[in-house]
Amino acid sequence: MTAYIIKRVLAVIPILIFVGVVTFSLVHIAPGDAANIMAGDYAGPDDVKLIRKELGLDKPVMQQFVEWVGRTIRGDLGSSIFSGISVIDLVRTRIGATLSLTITGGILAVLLGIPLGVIAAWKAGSFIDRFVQIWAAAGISIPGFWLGFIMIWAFSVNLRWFPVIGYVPPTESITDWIRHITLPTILLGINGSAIIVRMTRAALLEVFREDYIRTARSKGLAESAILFRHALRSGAIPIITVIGFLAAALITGTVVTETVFTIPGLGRLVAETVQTRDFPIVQSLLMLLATVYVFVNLIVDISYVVLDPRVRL
Amino acid sequence: MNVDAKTAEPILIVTPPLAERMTVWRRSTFRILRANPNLAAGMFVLIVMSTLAIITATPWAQSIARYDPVKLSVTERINRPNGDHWFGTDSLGRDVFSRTLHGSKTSLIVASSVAGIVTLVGTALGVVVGYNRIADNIVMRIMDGLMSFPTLVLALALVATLGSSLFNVILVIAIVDTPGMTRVVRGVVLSIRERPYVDAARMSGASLPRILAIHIAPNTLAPVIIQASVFFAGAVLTEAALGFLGVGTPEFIPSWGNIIASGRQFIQVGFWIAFFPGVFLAVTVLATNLVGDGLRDVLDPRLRGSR
Repeated sequence: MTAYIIKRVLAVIPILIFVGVVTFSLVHIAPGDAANIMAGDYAGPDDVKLIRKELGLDKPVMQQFVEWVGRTIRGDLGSSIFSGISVIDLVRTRIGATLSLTITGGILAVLLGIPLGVIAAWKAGSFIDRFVQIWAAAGISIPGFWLGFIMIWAFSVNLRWFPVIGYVPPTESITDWIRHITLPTILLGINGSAIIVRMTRAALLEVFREDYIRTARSKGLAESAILFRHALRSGAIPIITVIGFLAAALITGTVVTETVFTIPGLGRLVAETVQTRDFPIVQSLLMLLATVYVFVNLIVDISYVVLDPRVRL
Repeated sequence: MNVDAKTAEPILIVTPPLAERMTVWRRSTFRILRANPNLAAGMFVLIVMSTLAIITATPWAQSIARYDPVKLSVTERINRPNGDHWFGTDSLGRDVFSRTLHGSKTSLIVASSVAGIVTLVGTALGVVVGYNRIADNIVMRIMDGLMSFPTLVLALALVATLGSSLFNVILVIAIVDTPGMTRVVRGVVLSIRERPYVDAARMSGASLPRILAIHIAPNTLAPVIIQASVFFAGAVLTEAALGFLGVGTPEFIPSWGNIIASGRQFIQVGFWIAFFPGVFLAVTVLATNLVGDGLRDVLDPRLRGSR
């Protein structure tokens, strides 16, 4: 097990290098010249030259890469082409909203998704199973940005239960924070729970086909005992892997959700900066979110091995 | 084998005439569809949607989408849905119904191109890496690297870099989806290549291309079809999300995503602008997912009867 964990941790290094190369290449795969794109249609040649110098695009590519890696490792992620605000400051002011949203949304997704998935698998084929499956199919199929729009229209514009846009940190006012975060949390939770339901149901159905479940059933155990004492114990392990998928759904979800609800978080920063092509910020955010995602998956993989005595790869 | 050659039944392989085969095929298709109402419903919706999308690309577009989807009309700004404009008009006086129908064309072009590219490239790569250690190490490391990005964020960054065009949207979604397909096909190939019948084929002197084409590739068909439906649905959603976030297909090509984006700011006065294209979008994705789940039940015998 230790060998596997060491191997798995070391495997992160080439992945992060690859992520870095792709991220760095962004500016260089831009057709024409990234500096031209950023300068916009009304810029003169001097402006373009200035931006090129600012980004270091006038140096050889290898030198640029080495310098970029060096800066990134030291934590200097550059600053916005337009406002001049450093990426670190931008992230610092915006991460709070994103964290509170992903935490509440993630918790809701797990609280909804796992019980629903377990019930659906346990009562496979029943009316409840059908209902849960429709819920999951709808949750995966209905685009978040449209559902969010409908929610704002129904609950904020018409019923006036919640504010239409914005965010208030919990340190300022707990009640205002709850009012602002409720709808986005529900939106993220619905989307995330749909994925969890499908994976939980599939994982448990697999467990229910195992011999030891048939044995338990044939020795006359109550269905509830089979579920709680036998199925869920081993079924819990594959369910952990959904957290990796949930992380992906939450990262994607925050971009869309924060844009719909106009929440000043990292996701909305991504959406804003790709529109203005503020490359230093786009690059840093891509690198940052990919790194978070890589480490979440690392933790999931390791916990999988630690928890399941059968997996000793 | 110790079966006496004289007493053994002669094996006759008779290919039934085409008409008969067609009847059998038709009958079994009907039976499959009747046993899977979700699959039937999903297919029905997809057929209707594609028909509408194809008609909007022909000269008969006017017969269903009566208005020009990009024609501005100052006097008809933000009209409620009515007899003339079934889905109302948007902030520039454009007919939302016509725009939504033309948007279905954009979505289906993107989704089918992505599903096609991903299927071809993913299957080819998957079969090759399943059989070649060196290629496996190189290709799969790249695929792992691509998969370590959150897909939408990578797609956003790539489209923003390459520029917004229909081609770039297709290219970018295909790039972020190919690793998933490659991984699935590779897994199937790795398990099939160890089967006894593949050993038998190898021992009887079959060449590698023949083994790949006759024994390996057909067995990847079921998972590939299922996966292609997943990527089709995903591409419809991603295309719309890119459009909604303002980096998808350019404004002059109506797509469900950019119509919803344009209607978002008129939520108080023109709810319908973003509402109707979203219904089409959700219904299409749901239908594709139902087809995908239905195909999984039909094609994957292991899961058959599990619901």
